[in-house]
Amino acid sequence: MAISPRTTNKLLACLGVAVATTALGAGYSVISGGQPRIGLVAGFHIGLFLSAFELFFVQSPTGARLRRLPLLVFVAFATIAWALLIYIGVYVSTPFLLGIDMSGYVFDTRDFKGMVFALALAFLSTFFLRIQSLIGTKFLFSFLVGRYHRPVREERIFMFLDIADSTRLSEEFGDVKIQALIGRFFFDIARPIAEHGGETYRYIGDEVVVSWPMSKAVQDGRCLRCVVDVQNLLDARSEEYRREFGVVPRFRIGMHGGPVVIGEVGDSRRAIVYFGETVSIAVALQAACKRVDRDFVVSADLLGRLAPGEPFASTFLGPLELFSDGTTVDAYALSRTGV
Amino acid sequence: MISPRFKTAIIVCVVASVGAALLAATYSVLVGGDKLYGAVTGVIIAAPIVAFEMFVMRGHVGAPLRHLPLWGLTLVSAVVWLVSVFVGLAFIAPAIFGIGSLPEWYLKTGFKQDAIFALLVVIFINFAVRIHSLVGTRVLLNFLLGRYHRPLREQQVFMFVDFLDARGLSKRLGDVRAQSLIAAAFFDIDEAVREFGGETHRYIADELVVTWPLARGVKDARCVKCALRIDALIRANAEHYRKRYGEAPGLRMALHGGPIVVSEIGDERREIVYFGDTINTTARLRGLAKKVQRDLVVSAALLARLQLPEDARAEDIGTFELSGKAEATRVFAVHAEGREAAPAAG
Repeated sequence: MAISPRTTNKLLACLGVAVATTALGAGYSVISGGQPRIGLVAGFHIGLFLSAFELFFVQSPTGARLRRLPLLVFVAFATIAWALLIYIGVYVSTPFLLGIDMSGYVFDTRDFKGMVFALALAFLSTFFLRIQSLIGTKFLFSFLVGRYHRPVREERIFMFLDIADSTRLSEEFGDVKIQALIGRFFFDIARPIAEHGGETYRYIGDEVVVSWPMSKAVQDGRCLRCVVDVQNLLDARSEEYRREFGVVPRFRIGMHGGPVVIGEVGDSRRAIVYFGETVSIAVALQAACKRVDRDFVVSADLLGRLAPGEPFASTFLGPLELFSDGTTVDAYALSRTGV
Repeated sequence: MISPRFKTAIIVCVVASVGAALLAATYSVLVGGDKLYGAVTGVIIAAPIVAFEMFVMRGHVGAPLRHLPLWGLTLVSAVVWLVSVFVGLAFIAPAIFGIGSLPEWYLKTGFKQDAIFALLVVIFINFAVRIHSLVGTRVLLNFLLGRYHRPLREQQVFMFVDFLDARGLSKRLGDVRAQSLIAAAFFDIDEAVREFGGETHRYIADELVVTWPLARGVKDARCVKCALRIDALIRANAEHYRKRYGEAPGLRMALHGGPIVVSEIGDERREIVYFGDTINTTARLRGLAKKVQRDLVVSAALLARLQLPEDARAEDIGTFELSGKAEATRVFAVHAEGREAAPAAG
């Protein structure tokens, strides 16, 4: 089986972390007057264990149950796991690899202080990792370096996906229940979206906003293949949704790409926002779905840029009047072929 | 009268000082020092830092600092925090306890350990303080407690603010300049939102969503006062905007309140979202404000729950089909006294 680009990225990240912690471990033993050889190996082990735990367990389908826990419980669990892995790295795997006999070893206060320190570090790191999901990894980094402190123009594709008839469903099944269904659905589709390189920008009520850098998406049509996988996931889970919530959600998508301005806004509460005609058109195309009774509407402009041969049949909808000032946009409705 | 913001600042100062005293006392016990000395030192280090954060960084004086990129802001504040740590540890605390100069042995061993501990705590908290502006205090707290882990029904006030003609603005000024103007206006508006205890929920392109828990939002008509203050602030800065960007922005605002479902959503990217008729109605009210050319429209349902401030006037502008449900919504236009009811077209 071929290794997916996501797995490759994860492996590279693990290696990068391990290299960094190897250097840290060696540096620590030099400063504290220990043997650099031991610090080096222990650092490598700790980095490898922790990054593998985060990327291949927490961020995997198996870790989904963990990620659905309340944040504080999640942080507590991850802290314990980290402390355990650090303990194993220092006192089990490193002595084993270096052939050091630990059988007669007795813990002293220095070891105890070291473990307290490791636990504190584990807590801070896992806490930080969990918090990052509230801001978005990319944006957190952009904030820290001030990348969008002055507005920047970029070419991006936007997908606005919302749940069809959510108002009617709320009246029929109860708003709290339908919100739980929406929450579950968005949790489930986060993975296919991330796997196709989509950046989940935000959630607005029953709507999720995803964006891709234009050049990458145009190269391999990942924004369309993402929609295929979201639909596949919904088909695969439809029984589960019906059993748990009594109804299977349907979604509607508007998609458009072009230049946007990205900038920081706010003072006591800061955010990075996308701004411009491209975003307005994507929103309006999604709103148009209902009017033209289609589930997936793409601007002709974007569809023309995407490589042909995608698994969709397109129907030309003509120029759609999207704004009150009479601006029209040529659009296509896409539907799955062979369904 | 003490503003809610000032009250919050004082409460934060007191709570942080108590927290620092406890933390430092615990540390003293662990390393075998004097509890009282530790607690007092903790307060001496923490109190100036918190006061600096609440009154300088968040006050008028701090505005130029807050215009810096996040790393610049972090750097400046870190320097102030570090100075406070060293001055407190090396000079003020010994002076209070009548120790003229610190003994040689302490400077060699204990001082280093104490300083490292204080620095680690300070660095972590400083980072957390910087990050919290990216998430929002209430959001962060609610995520940690898992309050909306299961969807919850609550009563909230919503305020939608957006620009009169954002698309026209970006055609006339160019999209980058228009975005700069919008960012400048949002920065100025933040002041009014804080003043009246609102929580900035979202920025969506040229739109701002502010919320209050219903009881807090209608108390002293805070939500209405906030909207009027925003209007006044933007008008007061009009000349500045015109000089800098070539145009002064016009705003449209809508206020409505009622039941809403609040819920955590997402996986790798998590957010707290609001869902329900109340928010849809507020969004449509905002659209209505544009159509009827009023700066601020408020639903009758919300207006009935609060006492209008003395200098505000409400004018019944009729009933409109807004909620997508059968019943129509009665809507009022609200404006500050002395300002003409129907503003000049923007």
